[in-house]
Order: sequence, then structure tokens, then C-alpha cells
Amino acid sequence: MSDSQRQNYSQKEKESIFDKEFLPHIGPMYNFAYRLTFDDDDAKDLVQDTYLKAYRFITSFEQGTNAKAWLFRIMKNSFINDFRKKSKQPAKVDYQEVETFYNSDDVDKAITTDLRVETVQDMIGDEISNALNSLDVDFRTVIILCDLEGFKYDEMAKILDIPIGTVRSRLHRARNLLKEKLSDYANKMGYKN
Amino acid sequence: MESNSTGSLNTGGSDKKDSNQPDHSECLKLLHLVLDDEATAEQKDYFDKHVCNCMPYYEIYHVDKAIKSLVKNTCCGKNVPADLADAIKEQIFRGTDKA
Repeated sequence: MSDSQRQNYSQKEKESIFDKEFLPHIGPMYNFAYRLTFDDDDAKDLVQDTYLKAYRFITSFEQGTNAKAWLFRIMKNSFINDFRKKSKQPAKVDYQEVETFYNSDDVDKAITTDLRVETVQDMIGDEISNALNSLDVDFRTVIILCDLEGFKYDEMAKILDIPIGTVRSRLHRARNLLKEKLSDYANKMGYKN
Repeated sequence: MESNSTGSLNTGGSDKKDSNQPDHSECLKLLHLVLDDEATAEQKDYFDKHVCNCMPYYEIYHVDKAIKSLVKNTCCGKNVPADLADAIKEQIFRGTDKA
């Protein structure tokens, strides 16, 4: 954002924006932070860090625009830049493989599933939650943003700094991986498919 | 808008045996757009017609829909620590006072 686009808020306006537009999102922010870090203290730190940055750069925020998406973008960047380095996460996903997914023969494989609606509905929350948590963070993130938080593809693209096509292919792959995990679980537990 | 990438449906291409037969790979691309409420009316119509006549897609769509719904209903409930909002405000506005 150029200087001319920066907002010129008074102290009172800043506090009002913070209270009315930023703080109401603390619930989803904490949930997202927890799903990224899997630790209560780290989640608290990440939320705190995100809000401090949001306030510091509040002049870049245009009142009335999508505060939730703006905050999620800051949190995602904070997590990548600070927390992920500390936690020594495993190697990143091979996105080339993901991005070419739609053009590959794997597309046809995706039309088969041994999961049934009844099987999924019989599962309790723990299975879904554990399966989601076991996904690589980049796949987990797109499912959280889309299915939990209801962001649209264009909003996710801005939050994640990736093209919309990549959002779609990553989401597609993430859902297939989630289904594989649930299917493995269902087979292990003897659910009848 | 992303939906435009498949907005012009390829229902009459030379590789199709019959223009009335939906293209499976096209439907696969549309499945998530429909699931996420990102499809155009034309895309949704095309997909709906296909799903009605295609058992594998009917199953996949409804399994995906059930999973999406379960994810939303079971993974949202992390309670925010009661003191977190106050701690953040205290830190920010204490800093502002100093400035």
C-alpha cells in the first residue's frame, strides 16, 4: 500500500476499529492458531503477535473492508515467518505435483472412493479432527479457511498469497488426503463400506 | 473470478461422443466449485444434471458434503482463553501510552 492509500486514523478511531472490527474475530483466530500450532501457549502467542502487528499496521487497513481476511493473512505470515521456523516443520509439499494434478491421470483415480455418507456420518468429531490435524500444514490450512471459516476462493488467494487456481488444486488435493485418512480409519475400525 | 476458468463449459468438444453425455473430468472440476458455492448458475446446472445420472459422482459429492459439514461442526469449538483479549489490549494500549 502506498503512502497515499494509508488511512489517517485518530487514536480514538484506531481504538474503535480495534474493538469493533478486529477483536470480534478472536475466536476464529484462536482456533486457526491452535490448528496451526497444536499447542495452547503457542496459539495464544500467535494470536497476540497477530493482533499486535494488526494494530501496528492499522493505517494499512481500510475501515469496512474484510477485517477477518486481513487478520488471517497476518496470522498466516506470522506463523510462516516465526513459528514454523521454531518448530522445525518437515519439508514442504511438492506443489509442482499438486499444481499439475488436474492435468494428470490421477484425476480419474479421484472419482473412486470407498467412503460412504453413512460411514462419515457415523464418525465422531475426534476422527475428523485427528484426520485434519494429521495433514501437512498447507493442506490443513486450505480446509480450515474454506470449510471452517467459510472464506471464498478469492479471499483465500489473498490470505495465502497464491493464485486462485492454486487454491483450488490445493483444496482438491487436501480433501482427497483427508478422505484417505478417514477411509483408513473406517477400515481399521471395521466400518462397513 | 475463478469460476470463469470453467465458466465456458466444454460440452460440445470434438472428443465427446455425444453432447448429451457429460464430461467426467469437467464434472470433477465443478464438484468443488459447487460444494463451496463458487459455481455459476450454468456450472451448477450442468453438474446437477450429471450427478443425477452418475452414481459415483452422486456418492462422491455427498461424501464430500458430509465431510465438509462435519469439519465445520466438529473443528470450530476451541475456546478462547478468557484473559486473552484483555491481555492483548493491555499490551497494545500500554504501548500506545508510552509512545
